[in-house]
Order: sequence, then C-alpha cells, then structure tokens
Amino acid sequence: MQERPRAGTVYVVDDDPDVLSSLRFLFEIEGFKVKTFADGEHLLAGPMPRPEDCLLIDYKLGPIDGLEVVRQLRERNVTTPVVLITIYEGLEKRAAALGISHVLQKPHFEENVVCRVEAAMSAARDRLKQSQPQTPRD
Amino acid sequence: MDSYLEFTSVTDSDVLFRMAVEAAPNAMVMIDPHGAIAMVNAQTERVFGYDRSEMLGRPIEMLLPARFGKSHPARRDGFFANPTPRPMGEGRDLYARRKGGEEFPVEIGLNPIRTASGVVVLSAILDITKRKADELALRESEHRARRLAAIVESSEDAIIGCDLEGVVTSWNRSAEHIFGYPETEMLGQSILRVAAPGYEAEMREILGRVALGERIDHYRTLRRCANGSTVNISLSVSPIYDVSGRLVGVSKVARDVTDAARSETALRESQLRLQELQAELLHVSRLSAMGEMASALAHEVNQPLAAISNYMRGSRRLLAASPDPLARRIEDALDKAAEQAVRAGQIIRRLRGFVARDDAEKQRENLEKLAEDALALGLIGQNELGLKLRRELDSETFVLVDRVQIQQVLVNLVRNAAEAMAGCERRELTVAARPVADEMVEVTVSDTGRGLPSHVRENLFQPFFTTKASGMGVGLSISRSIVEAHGGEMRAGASPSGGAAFSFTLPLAPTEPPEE
Repeated sequence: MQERPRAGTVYVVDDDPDVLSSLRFLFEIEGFKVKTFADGEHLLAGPMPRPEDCLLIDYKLGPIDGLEVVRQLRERNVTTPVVLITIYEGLEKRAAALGISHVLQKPHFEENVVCRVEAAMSAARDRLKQSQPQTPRD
Repeated sequence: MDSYLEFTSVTDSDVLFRMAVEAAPNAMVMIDPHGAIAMVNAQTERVFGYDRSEMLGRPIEMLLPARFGKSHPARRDGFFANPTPRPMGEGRDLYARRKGGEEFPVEIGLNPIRTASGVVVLSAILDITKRKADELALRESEHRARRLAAIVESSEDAIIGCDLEGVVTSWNRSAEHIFGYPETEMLGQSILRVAAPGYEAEMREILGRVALGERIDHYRTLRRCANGSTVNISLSVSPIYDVSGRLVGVSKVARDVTDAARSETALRESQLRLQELQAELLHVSRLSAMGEMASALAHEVNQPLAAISNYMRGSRRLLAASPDPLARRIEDALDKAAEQAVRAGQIIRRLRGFVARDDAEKQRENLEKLAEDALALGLIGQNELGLKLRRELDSETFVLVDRVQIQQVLVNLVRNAAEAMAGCERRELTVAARPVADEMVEVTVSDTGRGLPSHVRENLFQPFFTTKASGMGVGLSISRSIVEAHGGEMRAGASPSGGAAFSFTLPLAPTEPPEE
C-alpha cells in the first residue's frame, strides 16, 4: 500500500539483511521507492543516486566503510543527501566534511529514521531550487 | 812455643805486632815486594778457607779471581814503586776468591811497612758481602717504594692513609681530584672533613671496625667534596701494620662511582616506568576486552532491535488507514512493543557506556613519544637481535588522544609485527606517520613478514578472530574500536616488502592556544 508516491528514491546500504528488509518495508509503506544494497561496492557499481534521492548508509560495512563510500560518491560529483548511521561517536566532523546531513547514533529507534530522511530530502530540494532559480519549471 | 813464652815476649815489638795482626777482626795479609804472602792472620784463614800453611810463600794472586790474575802483578809493582797507605782499587768493585773458587766483594786497605829487609805491604781485607747485600736490599726497597708511590699517584682511585684517629697521613692525586682538596690541605687533617652531612657516624664506625683489624670492601657510600657537592664512592678500607705487626693506621681506597650510580638510577627509573606502563596497559586492555565484548553484543542485539522497530513503525502506519475497530487496540499494542524495543536499546547503551571508557581523557600528546614508548613496551620479550627499527616520525606532530589507549593500539601493532617476522631472514619494523586530509595524521606500522592471506585480512578486525596459538583475538578488534572512538579509522594492507602494514588515523591536536 502506497499512501502517496514520493519523488525521490531511498538508497539503503546495510550489511545486515534483516535490518535491510525492515527498512525497505518501512520506507515503502511511507511511499518511497527503495533500493537496497548489502555493501558499498554494489551501490557504487550501479546507477548513481540523483540529487533528489537520499542515501541511508551504515558506517560499519564490509571492506569499505560508509564514509569511504560517500567520499567516492562525492568524487563522482554525486550530491545526494546522506544520513549516516553509526554506533561510534566522534564521526560528525568527518561526516560534515563530506556534506552528510545527519549522523544517526545507534541505537536509533527513538528517532524516526523516516523523518530524518524526509528532512534531508527536503533540505536538498531547497538547495536545488536556490541554485537553479532560472529553471522555467513552475 | 808455649803461651808463657809468648806472653813474656810481649815487650818485643815484633811479637806485639804479630799478636795485633793475629787478633784483628779483618783478614790481614802481608806480602813481600815479589807478591808472595809473608803473613796471614786467623781471620784470613776463616774468610778464605785456606790453612795458613797453604798460603804462606805463595803469590797473593791465589786469593784473587782468575780474571784479575794477569793484571795484578803490574799494579802490585806500581804500588811498591810508590808505596803510600791507601785503599786499593778506588772506584772499582773489588772481589776476592775463596778456596772453593767462590768470589766475594771486598774492600782492601793497603799499608806499606818499611822494614830492614825492604818494603812489605800489609793489606786489610774486609768481606763486604753482607754490606753489599744490605745496600742492594735497600736500593731495591727504595725502588719498590718509589714504584708503589708511582702506582698510588697514578691510580684513578683515591688512595688515602690515615692513622687510627683518622688523621690523614697520605693523600694521592686522585684523592685531590675526587674530593677537591689538595694534599697539602689534607695532611694532618681529620678525614671527617670529607664526611657528607649525616655520614660522620658512619665514618667513625668504619675507622673503629678497621682499628679492630676488620677489612671493608666495596662499600657504597657518599662523601662531601670541597665545593660542597657530594660524590658516590665505592670504599675499601684495610688496616696498616708496621714491621712489628702493630696496627698503626688504615688505608682507604675510594672509587668515584657517581656516573655508575647515576646510570643505575636512570635504569631503575626507566624499568619502573616500563612496569607502570605495562600495568596501565594490562588494566586498560582488560577493560577494553570487556568493552569490546559489550560492543560486539550491543551491535549484534541492536540490529534485530532496529529491525523490530522498523517493522513496528511500518505496521503502525498500515493500521492507521484501517477502518477496523480492532485496529486502535493493535496500534496501542504496537506502540507499547516499540517502547520496549527502545528500552532494550537503552539498556545496551548503558552497558556499553559502563564498560567502554567514556571517561577517555583525550589530551595533546606527542606522537613520536607515544611511538617510542610503544616500541619499548611492544618489543619486551621479543627477539630484538637482528630486528631493524625504522622510524619515519616527526617530533613536532601532536595528536589529540587518550595516551594509554593509543599506546595500547601501537603496542598491539608492534607486537603483531615483531611476531609476524619471527623466523624471517629480513626483519624490519617501520613506524611511520604522515599528515592526511581533515586534520588527521595516518600512522602506519609495517613489517617484512609474510603478509596477510586474504582470508585472514577479511576477518582481521572481527572480535575473537586470531591466527595465533594463544591469545583471545580481540587485540585488533579493540584497536580498531579505540581508533574509531577517536574519530579515526584503521585498515590493514600490504607493506612494500610484501609484509603486513596496519594504518590508522588520529586527529591532530589543535595548536596550543597562546598563554595569557
């Protein structure tokens, strides 16, 4: 059941398959298109996320960690907003340097991950509008 | 001739002369102008070992060593030509010969006597064997004394003589050098002048014990110098006896061991420091091992909790659109279940916070010093023979870290590296640091061992993974947690030689604010 279809796709990267399918379930109910990846390599191998999408990525992954995946995306000029999930403290500085909108500290069930992703996407949309004022879309 | 006759003829000067010669304590020999022995006395018989009858009428040369036999008649003639009383052979060492051929040193006085039948020479021959021996002994003992004095003077040890009251009787050059007092200032003074404060009683006790004949060997103590400083010495004290065996003084030999004492102290201090560091590390590694287990547990349990939470949030959204009257009750139940998941998460977070050192004290630390300490600790018990250490470090690099935790990481890597090279021909351990992006520094510990097989590399950082026969397999996993808790990251790779290289990043410390 999709209440209201949304513009962006949520790219979810987590090495725990159960967590991954629970996130797919949650975001699909919220009306998002969802793509899931078990690690960063698979994400980097496929089509790149667009600026209106959102990347929800775990820091602790297989061979390359979440921050490294984001760094490589940024190298490819991918400006998609990112929400990073981590159990570690002290990653904020490095995350901010990569333009990561929000770091979600585990355990994070108190915080609504959906709200975080929505906020990141909406902020990105605002930025897009500001940077392209002449676009004769409206 | 009987004694009476002899006695009655004492008035006869010739007889009187003969009796005087006979009784003389030296050997007396009279020769005629031809060199024949005309008269000898009893002492001559004793000294030379001949009977009087064997000598009388024979040439005087029989009493000389054979080597003088040839030249002697000419000298003898010369004397007879100008006879004056004088010692014979002035400036020369004279020797005579006994019956058995044995030579002995002599002094000879020549006394010409004019008689009616011409000049005769009466010579007094003094056996100077004993005197010569005494002279030689004296010279030797003087020589020995001079040699001893030279040894005493040139010794690097202070050598001091004292009487039993502690009054200095000798003071060599090293004593001057070590204590700073010249000999002239110390002779006749009490040795207590060099007592360090609080050591007078000890010096008196030493004197007292040695006065009872005891020896003291290599006793470590402290003395005071002329300039007020103190000197560590190793002291040996022995009694001095005179020839009659009477105790007359003490000799002290003192060696300056200040340098040795200083390096011993330094060694003890660094050993103590090592022990402290080890204890600290052990403590932290125990805590970290627990923390690591708590972390692993937290991570493992968090994942299903997160999944539960996601499913419930999703289900609740589904129900919200349902017209079913039961839906409200199910929603309520789902909310409560979600609350319980949150509670479980909080419990785990508290557990982690309790064990993982949240009180980590991050301070500005010199990276090079951290690495040096870690090398010292990490190589304890490793075979350092043939192990080459390379440091590519900058003494000006400061990082913002918990010193003990980062040391633990470094020690761990250093030990792993050293162990990985056991039995390898080339054993080179390198600790290097280089600045990287985001105001971080990357530290690399690499070795020239066999490197990491891919199946090992994949599991390196998993808790309880190990390739070692002993060990818990939490070292690298803890190390990585520590590094990540500092905001850095850790990875394993290969060194240029094909060995293993472990790198991790640490935040650079901000430059010290200027002092107000």
